[in-house]
Amino acid sequence: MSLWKIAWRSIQQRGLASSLTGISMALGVMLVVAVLVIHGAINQSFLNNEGLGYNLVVGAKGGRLDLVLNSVYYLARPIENIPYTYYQEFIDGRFAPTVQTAVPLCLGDTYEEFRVIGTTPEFFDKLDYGGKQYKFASGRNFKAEETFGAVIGATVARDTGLATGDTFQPSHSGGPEAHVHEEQFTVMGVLEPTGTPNDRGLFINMEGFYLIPEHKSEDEVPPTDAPAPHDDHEHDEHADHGHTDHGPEGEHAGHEHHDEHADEHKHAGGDHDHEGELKDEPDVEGASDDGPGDDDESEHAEKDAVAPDEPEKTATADTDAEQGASEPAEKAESDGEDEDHHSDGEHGEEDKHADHDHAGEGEGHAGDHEHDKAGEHEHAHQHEHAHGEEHEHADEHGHEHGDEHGHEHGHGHGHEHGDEHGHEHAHGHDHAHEPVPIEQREVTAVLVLTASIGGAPPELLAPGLMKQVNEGPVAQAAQPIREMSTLFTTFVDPLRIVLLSLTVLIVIVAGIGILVSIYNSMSERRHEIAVMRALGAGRRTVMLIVLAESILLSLAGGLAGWAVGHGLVGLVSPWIADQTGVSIGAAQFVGYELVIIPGLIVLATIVGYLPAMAAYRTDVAKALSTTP
Amino acid sequence: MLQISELRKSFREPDGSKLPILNIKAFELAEGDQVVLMGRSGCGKTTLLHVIAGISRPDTGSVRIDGCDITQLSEAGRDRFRADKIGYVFQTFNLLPGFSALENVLLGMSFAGKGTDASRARDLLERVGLQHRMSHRPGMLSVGEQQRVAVARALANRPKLLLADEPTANVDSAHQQQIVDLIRQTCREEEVALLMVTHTPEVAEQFDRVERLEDFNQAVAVA
Repeated sequence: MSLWKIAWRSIQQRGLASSLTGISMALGVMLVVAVLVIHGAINQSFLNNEGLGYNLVVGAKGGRLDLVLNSVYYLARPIENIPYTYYQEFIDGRFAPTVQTAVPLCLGDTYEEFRVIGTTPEFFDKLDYGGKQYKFASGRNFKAEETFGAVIGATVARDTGLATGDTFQPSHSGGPEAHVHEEQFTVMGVLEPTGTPNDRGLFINMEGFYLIPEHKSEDEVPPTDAPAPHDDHEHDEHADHGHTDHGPEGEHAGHEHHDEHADEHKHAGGDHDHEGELKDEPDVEGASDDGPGDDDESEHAEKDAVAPDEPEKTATADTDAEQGASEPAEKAESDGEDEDHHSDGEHGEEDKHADHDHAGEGEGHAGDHEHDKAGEHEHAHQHEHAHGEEHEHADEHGHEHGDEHGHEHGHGHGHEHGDEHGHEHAHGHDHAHEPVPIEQREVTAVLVLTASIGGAPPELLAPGLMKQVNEGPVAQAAQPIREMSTLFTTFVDPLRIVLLSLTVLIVIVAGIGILVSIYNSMSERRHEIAVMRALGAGRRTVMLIVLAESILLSLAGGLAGWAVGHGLVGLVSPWIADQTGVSIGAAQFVGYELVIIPGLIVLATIVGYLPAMAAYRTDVAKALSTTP
Repeated sequence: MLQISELRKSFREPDGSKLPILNIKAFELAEGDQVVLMGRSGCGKTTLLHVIAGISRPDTGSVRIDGCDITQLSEAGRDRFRADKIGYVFQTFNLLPGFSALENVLLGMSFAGKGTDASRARDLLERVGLQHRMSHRPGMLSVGEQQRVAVARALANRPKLLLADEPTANVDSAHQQQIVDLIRQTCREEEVALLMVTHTPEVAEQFDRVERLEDFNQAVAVA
C-alpha cells in the first residue's frame, strides 16, 4: 500500500474537513485559471502578429490606438478618413514595392450592433487570420463586381439571423445623423467562426459602400425633411458626399471663405491638410488662383488627390458652366440623397440650404478655379456657399449672400447640371449605381501586409514603410501589435498582475486552510501515526504520508478548480466573444497553467511541512499509551 | 531468539531526577516459545515490550532478537527491524479506522519494504475467521473481530516474535478465550515466538511459562 493511498485514506477518513479545504483550494485555482486563460487568450489574440494577416494599419493622422482599435478590432469611436488615392499608393504607387497586400477599409456604418465594413474581396482572398484562410460556412466571398455583395461574420449571422441570400441595410452610426441607408446589400457568404473581431463584422463591397450617398459627404440633411429636390442642389449634395469625412466645421469654414473671397477658400483648404496638399501638386499647372480653389475642392467635394484630372475638368467647367456642372452631376448620381434634395429652387428651405452648401462646396472648388477666369462662375459658387451658410445659420443670410454674388449664375449653373444628374440619380437608385469617381472616395484605413523580400519576415519592412507614411502629411501608419502591446503593458498587464496576485493570495489562503485542517487533525492522528510507527513505519515515512496528504488535497482541489475554471471560461466565453470578438474555448490553455501543478505541490509541501514535522516528532511510546 | 541482558531504562521526572523503570539482568525467549508476562500495573510491562520492539530505547543493555542487537541499530534501523521481525498486538487493537480490515493487514506489510502480499493478507484474515469481513471498516466490526484483524495484521510480515499487550483486556469474556486460542494457534502455525502480557489468571494459567516482571525487574523490586 503506497504512501499516497495511505494518505488518501486519511483524507477520506475526515471527509468533511478534507472536502471543505479542497473546495477552497479549488476556488482559488479556478480563479487563477480563469484569469490566466482569459487574459492569455485575449493577450494572444491581440498581440499575435500572425493572427491578423497584416502588420500595418494606415489611416488618418490622429491617435494610433484609435486607428488600431477601429480598423482591427472594430471598437472605439469612428475616426477620420484618408483619400482613396492614398490607398492606391499602396497598390501601384510609391509604397507598392514594399507592400505585399493592401486592403482598404471603409468604416462608419453599422447593422444592429455590428460594424459594417466596406472593403474589397481581397480582405478574404489575400489576408488570413492566425495563418488560416478565411472559410465560408455558407455561400462565398463577394466579387468585386458585385457592388452590393456582402460577407458577414459568424457572430453576426448567429445574432442577427442573416444568412446567405438575405439582404440588409446598413445604417449610419453618426449619433444625431444616424439613420438607415436605403441601399440593400446581399449576403453572399457567411464566414466560419474565426475567433477574431471579424466574426462581428458585416463586410460589404466598397463599391457599394461608395454608392451610399452619405459616404460622400456629411449628412446634415435628414432624409425625411428633404421636401423638394433642386437640380442645382443635387450637385451640391454630391459635393457633400465627397466630403464625407469633413465635419461641419470644414464646410462652414469653406463656405465663409467662399462668400468673402477666393483666397479665403485657400485658407480653409489649408486647414484640411491632406487634400489640400495633395491637390496642390497637380494644381500647380493652373494659375496661382487655382491653388485656393483646389484646396476647397479637396476639403469639400473631393478629398482624394485626383487633382490632375479634376483641375482640367474644372477648368473646362469654368469656361463652360455647363461642362463644369456635368462632372459634379455625375458625382451626384452616385449619391442617393439627390432625390430628397431636388427642391432646391428656393433657399428658404432648410433642405435646400443644406444642398446649397454642399453644392457650393463641391462645385465651388471647380468653380473657384473657373471663376477666377470667369466672373460668373465665381458668383455662382459664392452663391452656393452663401446658401451653405444659410443652412447653418439662417436662410436669410444665405439669400443675402446669394444676392450679392448673383443668384442667377449660381442657379443657372446648378440647374443645368442638376437636371442631367437628377435623372442619373434616379437610375442609380432604382437600377444600377454608377461608380463613384475616385476623387470622391475615401477609406478609413488600409490594412497592409508588407512584402517579404528574399524570404525575410515581412516585419522587416514594416518600420521603414511606417516611417515613410508617418513622415507624410496625409496619413499615419501603426503597427497593431505594438499599439496593443503598449496598451497592454500600460493598463491591462498591471490589472492582470493585480488580479493574479489576488487569486494567488486566495490559493495561498486555501493552502493555509489545508495546513490548519491537517494540523488540527494531528492530535487525533498522533495515535494513528504512532500505530503506524509501531507497525514499522519510520519517521520519514509518516512525515511523507502527511506531506502526501497535503499535496493530494491541494492537487485534488487544484485539479477540480482547474477543470471548473476552464468550464467557467467556457461559460463566459460567449460574452467575451460578444464584447471583443475574441473567442476563448473552454479547452483553451495557457502555458502558465503548467506552473499550476508544480506550484501547488510546492505550496502543499510548505503548508504540509508543519503537520508533517509534527508527525515526524511523534513520540510513539507516549502516543500509544493514550487511548484515541 | 530473544536475549535481554543488563537492560536498564529510566524515565526522567519533571523535577529532573531519574525514575528507574526497568533493570533486568537477563531474560530469554526461545524460538517458538509462548510466554505470559504478568505484573502489577505500572511495573513496566508495556515499557519492556516497547524496548523489545525497538519503539523505546533502553539506557543501557542489549536486546538481541534473532541474533541482532537492536539497541545498536539506528532508529530507522529499528523501525525496519520492527516491521520485519516483530508483530505487535495492542490492548486497544489500534486498527486504523479509515482502512478496511484487509487494508489494515496490508498496511502492516507496506512498511516492511517487501511489498504487499494481498493473498497472504486474505489468507490470514480467513484463518482468523474474517473471510466475510475483509472490506469492512473497523467501526463495522465487533471488538472481537477487530482484535482478530489486529492479530492478522501483526502476523502479516511473518515476524519472529509477536508481542501482545493485554490483547484480551478489552474483549468480553465470551470472546476472550477465542482470541487467546487464535493467537496461540496462529503463532504456532507461523512458528512465531509469543510474549503476551495479561492480567487475567485464567489466560495465564493456560501457558507453560508465566513470568512475573516484579521477579526479575530489579528496578521495581527496589522501588
